[in-house]
Amino acid sequence: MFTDEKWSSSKNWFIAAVFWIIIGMSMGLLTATKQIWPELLNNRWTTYGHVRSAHVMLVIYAWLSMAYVGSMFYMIPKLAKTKVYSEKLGNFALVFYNIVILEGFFALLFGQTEVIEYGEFPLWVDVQLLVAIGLVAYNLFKTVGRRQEKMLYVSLWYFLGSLLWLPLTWIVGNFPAQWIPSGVQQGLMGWFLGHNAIGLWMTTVGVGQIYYLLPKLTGRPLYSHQLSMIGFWAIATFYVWNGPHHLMNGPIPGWISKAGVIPSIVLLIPVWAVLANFWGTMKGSWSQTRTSVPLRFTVAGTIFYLFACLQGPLQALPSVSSVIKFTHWTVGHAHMGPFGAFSFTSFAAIYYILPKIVGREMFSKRAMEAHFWFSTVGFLVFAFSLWIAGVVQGFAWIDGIPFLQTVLMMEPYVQGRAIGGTMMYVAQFFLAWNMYKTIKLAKLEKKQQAQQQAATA
Amino acid sequence: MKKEYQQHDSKEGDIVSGIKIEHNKVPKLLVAVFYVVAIWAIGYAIFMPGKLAVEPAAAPQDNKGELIFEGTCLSCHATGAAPDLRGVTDRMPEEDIKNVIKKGRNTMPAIGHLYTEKEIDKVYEYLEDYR
Repeated sequence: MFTDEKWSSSKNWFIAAVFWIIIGMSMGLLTATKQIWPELLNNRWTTYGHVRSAHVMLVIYAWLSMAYVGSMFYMIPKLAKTKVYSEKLGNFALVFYNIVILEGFFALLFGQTEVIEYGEFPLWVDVQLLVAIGLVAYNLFKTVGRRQEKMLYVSLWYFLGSLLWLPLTWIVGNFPAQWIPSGVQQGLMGWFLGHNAIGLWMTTVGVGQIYYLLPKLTGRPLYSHQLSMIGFWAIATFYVWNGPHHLMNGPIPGWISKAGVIPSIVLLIPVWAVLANFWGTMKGSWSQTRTSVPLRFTVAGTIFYLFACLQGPLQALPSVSSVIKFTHWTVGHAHMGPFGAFSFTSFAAIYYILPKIVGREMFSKRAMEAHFWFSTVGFLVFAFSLWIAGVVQGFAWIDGIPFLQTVLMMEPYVQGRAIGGTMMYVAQFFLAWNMYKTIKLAKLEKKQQAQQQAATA
Repeated sequence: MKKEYQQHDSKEGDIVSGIKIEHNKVPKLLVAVFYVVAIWAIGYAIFMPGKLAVEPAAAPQDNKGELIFEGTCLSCHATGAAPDLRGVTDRMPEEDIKNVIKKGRNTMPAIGHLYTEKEIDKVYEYLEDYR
């Protein structure tokens, strides 16, 4: 039933990922549109609260996670100089994972939720998702176990670390919270999951992708072994403490608050180490970004990563947090990592890996260019609208301007966000169409080749 | 083949999985940043409260009317959703205004149960100067 074809897991995870980015982002666009026309699609299933959480969960756990798994099913065996432990198991895990995501999607639309950011699926979905993640991790660990290369390249550290950290984060964030008393404790548990889903899965796999892609795309050596050690161990040590900064100035003890602020700032160390390593590797190759779209996606991803990680530590400070908390700013920031940085590197991974799997170049270079520019310009319009809105909103609240008046002040910014968001959404159709054409043509070409060989033989 | 398993300290770099890794030194600027961040972290842990110090609201009672008016009434009366209240005390007698606040009128909800008699008096006093 499940194919054993070489690289089929990687390819199929990518296809599913791109399907879900379209669904997930249309949920996001609906959320944005509802802020302009609140009456739009206002029925039992698609109220604002349902659609918003469906958007968040789908883009993180359906699109981004599937794209990550897809690239790991290619990069890990390549780095281990072996083949995937079991392509069959990889394909089975994909089908299972997609069923679970569908269940979670409908559960959210139905109104079941745990009300934990990045952990909104109800418990019965959480359990199944954990099994699916476990299957993927098992398969990939087994692959590394059979490696022919003695040394582990830095990407492998990140991938293996992430495959351990995601299940741990998922367990700690989702399960005990069901039994401990509600209130501050649950809030802290929830943000343990909320922030570590970002830090020990989205960030670390994304950084691993960049470590793989940059030397491959530029043909340049990795800049510094030492920097990659500092970056990896610092993020592994400090990231896990970040949750409490989401409850800044809230009813949490001062020492927990500090235990959230300090690691947030200390994270400048791994982030700058990693980026110095990336840009050291890029030295002399910057001009290639003009012609190579995958490289341009990767480098733009690193730049957005820098900006996300300049905003993040600042936002963790009590004074800054007191202004921007609960405003539109946070929404802009929350999109920069998952979309600006790591969706971009995943796009690059797809554009780099897919041609190698199907044995033919991407069908249209112009579609790739359109994908890049719509994504980038759209995201900038989207994000700057929200950042300006957030600052205006935050200070208006401090000044005590009546709340409804501050809502009306947001009108132009919310519209700007929807316009930027539409561009981001449209961009993904170029990706999907391009992928579809490439895979279809590759199949056709293979068939013709086989026929020719049969004819000459 | 032998070169692939060279030790870390070699100058020209290792090759792992076909990717060459160099051993450039950590840039001095970064080392400085690392130290600054580390020292800041220790200082913050010892000396800072970890939260925003909130000053107790100055003179808590004397602007109660204004606070209620801005926090509640203006949510509708400043946005065009409800009539402008400037000079309303010239147009309506005191008793009527207080009754509207307590019992509501047309689309305005009754909010009398949210406030004490004294607080509603304060709101009325504020309305007298609101023009």
